Amino acid sequence: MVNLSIRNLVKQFGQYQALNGINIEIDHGELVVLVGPSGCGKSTLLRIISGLEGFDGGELLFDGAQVVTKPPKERGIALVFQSYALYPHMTVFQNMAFGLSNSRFSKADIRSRVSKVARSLALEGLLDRLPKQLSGGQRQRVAIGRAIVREPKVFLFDEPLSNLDAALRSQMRLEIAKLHQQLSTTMVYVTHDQAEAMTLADKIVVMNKGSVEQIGRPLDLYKKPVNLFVATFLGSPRMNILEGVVSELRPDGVTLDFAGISKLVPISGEAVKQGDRVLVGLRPEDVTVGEGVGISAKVEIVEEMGDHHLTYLSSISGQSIVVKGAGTSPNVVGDTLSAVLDPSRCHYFDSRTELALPVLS
Amino acid sequence: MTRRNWVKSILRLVTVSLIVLYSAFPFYYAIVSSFRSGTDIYKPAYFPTTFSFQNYVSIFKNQPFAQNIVNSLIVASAVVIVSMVLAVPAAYALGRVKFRGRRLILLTVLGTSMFPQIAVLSGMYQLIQSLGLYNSLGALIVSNLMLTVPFTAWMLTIFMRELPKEIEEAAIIDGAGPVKIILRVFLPLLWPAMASTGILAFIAAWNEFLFGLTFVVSNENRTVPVAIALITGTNQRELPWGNIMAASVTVTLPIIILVFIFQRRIVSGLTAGAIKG
Amino acid sequence: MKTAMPPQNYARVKTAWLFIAPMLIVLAAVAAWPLLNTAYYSLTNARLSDLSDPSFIGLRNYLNYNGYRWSGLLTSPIWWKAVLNTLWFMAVSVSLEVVIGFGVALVLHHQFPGRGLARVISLIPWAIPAVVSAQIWSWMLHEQFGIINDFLMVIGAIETPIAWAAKPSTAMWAIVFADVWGTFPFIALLMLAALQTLPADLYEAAKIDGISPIKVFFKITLPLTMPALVVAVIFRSLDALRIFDLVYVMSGRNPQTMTISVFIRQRLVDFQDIGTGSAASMLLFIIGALVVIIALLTRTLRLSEVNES
Repeated sequence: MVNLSIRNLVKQFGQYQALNGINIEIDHGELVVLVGPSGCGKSTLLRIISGLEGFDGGELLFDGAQVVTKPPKERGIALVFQSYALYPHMTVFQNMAFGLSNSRFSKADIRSRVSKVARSLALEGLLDRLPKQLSGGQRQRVAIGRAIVREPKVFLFDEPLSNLDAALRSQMRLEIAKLHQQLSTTMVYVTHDQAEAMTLADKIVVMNKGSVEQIGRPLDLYKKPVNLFVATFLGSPRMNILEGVVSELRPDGVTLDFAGISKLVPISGEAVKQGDRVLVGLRPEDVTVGEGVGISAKVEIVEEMGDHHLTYLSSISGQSIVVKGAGTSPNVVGDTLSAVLDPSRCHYFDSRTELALPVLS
Repeated sequence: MTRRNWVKSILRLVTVSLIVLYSAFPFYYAIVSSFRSGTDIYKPAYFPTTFSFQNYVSIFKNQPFAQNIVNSLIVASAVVIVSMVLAVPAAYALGRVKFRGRRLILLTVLGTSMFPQIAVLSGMYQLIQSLGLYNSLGALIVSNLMLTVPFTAWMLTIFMRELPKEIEEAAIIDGAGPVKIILRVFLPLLWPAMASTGILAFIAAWNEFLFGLTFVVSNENRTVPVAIALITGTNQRELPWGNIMAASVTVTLPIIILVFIFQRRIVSGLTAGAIKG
Repeated sequence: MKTAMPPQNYARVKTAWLFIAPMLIVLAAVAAWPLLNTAYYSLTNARLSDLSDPSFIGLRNYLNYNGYRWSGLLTSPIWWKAVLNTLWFMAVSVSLEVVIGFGVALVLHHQFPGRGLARVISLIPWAIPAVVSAQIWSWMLHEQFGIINDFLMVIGAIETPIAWAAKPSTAMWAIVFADVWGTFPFIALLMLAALQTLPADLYEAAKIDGISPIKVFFKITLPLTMPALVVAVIFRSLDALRIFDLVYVMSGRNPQTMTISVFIRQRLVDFQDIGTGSAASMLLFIIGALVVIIALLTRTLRLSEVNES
């Protein structure tokens, strides 16, 4: 187990700045998920941690020690690739044993370690097979097994589930979560899938365009996103964003005109002035549909999911709103109804800087 | 089937037959001629009528033809082995490692594989002389390297480049060094490509004529193509066509068998070298 | 702090050079050194019998004026005849190879029973050593006993046998026949590979639109396979430029059919004139280099991809 410090890390590819000053502290035993859209630099960061890639500025410390001079094998890391990267000409056993055979383990030692890991991953019967004779899920498990066998101090995962189909993906996600509980090794996990990030992470790092947007526990990020990007990136369906204008400053908040209504919201009056544009974010599950006073809107589409449903509304002012409700939907396409929201559950962002506005509690 | 399709099928049958006839007839005719001896050979025959091994006996008895075949085998094998040993590590470096100057080296290798042999003949002669290899098989091994090393390196670089990057990175993470990556990871994956390349290089060296003609003067040290080009009969004015055909068939048959067996490899090697490059 | 590469990458680059070094040394010895030597000899009066101490004579092997008369390679009618022969040979045989090779590829591209066998058989001529095909074609084109004259007389195309080897013009054609036969498979192979990369739905769309096959060939097939065709033509042109084996075996050292390579070898070996022979070598090298440069320019894009990856 090891703790990682990434300080002011900069990476350039020619003229292109891939990472501009990344700061992340990872405690030992923590499972940190780097999440963000493709091209945000998350995989580059992972490859830098692994030692496959160098960097152009800043520091990378394992337990307080610089590792920049160390090749991958001396860093005590293991990396699970998106494409599995199994050696096609080696059997499952040889794939798992290859790393050990490079570091002077005895044959008996290798055999016992491989078979122990194979047992824990239910790969025992497959040890003599070649990768091409395995299913996608089995290959994935071999790739993980190859990493575990070496008993690394840090586990790195590079989008390990993105090549699997949906059913297998959630199953493997569970297995990785269990694995982390068993091994309690430091893990860094890269994904573009916010659901994977939410379910697996002890700590999420949301990245965008080579920078860290926010770091925190999944629910903290979900509930208190610091900016519009984090707010809309996490959560599915994504957060509804409505644009409003500050019409009046009051001691208990400000009055905001949006989507055809005017509402008192708990934004601190010091942060805005009259006429400012504000983005109102509301999660689909925080909107209720009913008779009360709210945004008047027409039902466009209803999606039934069995346990819950999604209603896609279009407000009179032309804005679309998604509402998530439990059970089956009572709504009918074409109905006009009102979307009721609780101002204390909404998120508010400055429309120019897209940063969250301070809220009165 | 419609009438139009019938016409199409017949047209295809005719064109395919013509292609097969054009491709195979000259060699077929060489075989037929090689079994005709004495004055028989001077009567054009489209089909075999007589079977005489006299021409075959003659080339092995009256000339060092067996020795010539052995010479060709030695030269071609040595050239392929040396080329592979030099080209495999070089191809790894050129195909998988980014470094300054790589492009220049690749261009040099490609350029060298294209430039005419004859343009270096006098310089090569001087090299062979100064190495003391004139009139020996060593001369042919050294000079043939000029043909096969750049070719082999270029082909293998192309194949190396196509192996997935992650496989190598996985091996790096697993703690394998460059030599181990080549030997344990890449070579097992590359053997089909190496077979393609090796066969093509072997055929190139086996067929080489100019260096063989120029750097070796004694009959016993000649390679097969030179021996066939220089076959002379007892009669100065008339070439011993029967012997020439027998010799031609003898050296070509193994290569044709090679083509039949390794057709896929040869085709993939030739197209990779030309198109993917 | 600037660490553009982790140290193990420096080690990687060092290893790379270590791995390339043996090949570079060998290439320097067997290609660069002989080439430089040839260039040097082309400026001397070296003789084959004694290479040890030639005197430097500048460009006189190429062109010289001794006060009343021009001499040197560039004034030699035999040299210019060899150049013309080579260019004629290159133009005629590469054109024929392209037509036949492409035609064969188009036929063998379609699915039909026995296609695999037809493909292997069409590969046979490629594998046959040039010397052997030279001998086989010489024999088939033999004036008295050749099967081709016999066949042409049987079908009544000619009345008296053609003496192919006797006249320079027919002798050159004989060489072209042998060369085209030996190399059309290479073009057919490349074009087959190119045809296989063409999208089938394009042809289906053309078929549905009722476009004639000839129009489909010129509007779809030809433009899309052009890059491969260009590559094939460049490769073949380079080979044709240095043609030696066929000419040497089929028509010997006859100045009327001599190509550049045969000319050079004759100067070097038969006339022992290393100086002039090397000068001719350099001229051939320059012509070849021009073609190679054109070839490389057409591939520059691909090579830059190599660098990116």
